[in-house]
Amino acid sequence: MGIDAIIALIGTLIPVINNIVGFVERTAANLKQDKEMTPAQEAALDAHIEAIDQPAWWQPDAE
Amino acid sequence: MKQRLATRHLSLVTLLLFSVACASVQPGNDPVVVDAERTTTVGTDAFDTFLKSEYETRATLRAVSPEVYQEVHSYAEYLRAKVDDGSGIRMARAKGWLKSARALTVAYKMNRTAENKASLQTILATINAAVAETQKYLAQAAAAH
Repeated sequence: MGIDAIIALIGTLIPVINNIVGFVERTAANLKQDKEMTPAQEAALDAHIEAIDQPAWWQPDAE
Repeated sequence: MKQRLATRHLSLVTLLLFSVACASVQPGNDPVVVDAERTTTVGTDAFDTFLKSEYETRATLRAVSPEVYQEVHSYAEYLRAKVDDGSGIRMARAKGWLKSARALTVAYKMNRTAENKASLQTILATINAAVAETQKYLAQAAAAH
């Protein structure tokens, strides 16, 4: 693999690694939940789930 | 290098799963509800992270390891596939699981029967299993790079 390809590969992976690191940090915080959600927190989670499939990465391959 | 990254990632996931097993609940709060809300929150984030990562790296992964790409992409498509939610509305399978978890959590909070608890815990088991799969495929993709 040439140097240009390696640089391109790293450029692709860095945002993904940041994405995963962010997930790990958020999960660590979420796992500390030790009481039932408030109605406002429930509403926020419901709204998040409702809109979760809007981005391009949730769209299946064209049939 | 690649194996160390994949191993470190899996170690983080193991640590997180262990944390779930050890997390305590404040007095006066129903552990079933707390676990359901935690699982749903983590599942929401895990599915979104996995699908975003797969989407952003699929071209690269396909080039460096077609076999791993096929496995990772197939599972991502499984989560994305639109299925009927039982009321005629089609949505991504993973989204359907999350909405079911929320509906069953609310149903259990309103009526804390053994049946409602069992239904809730069934969907939570599905979400937990799927989250474990996403972590497995993320590790495979990382190792392939």
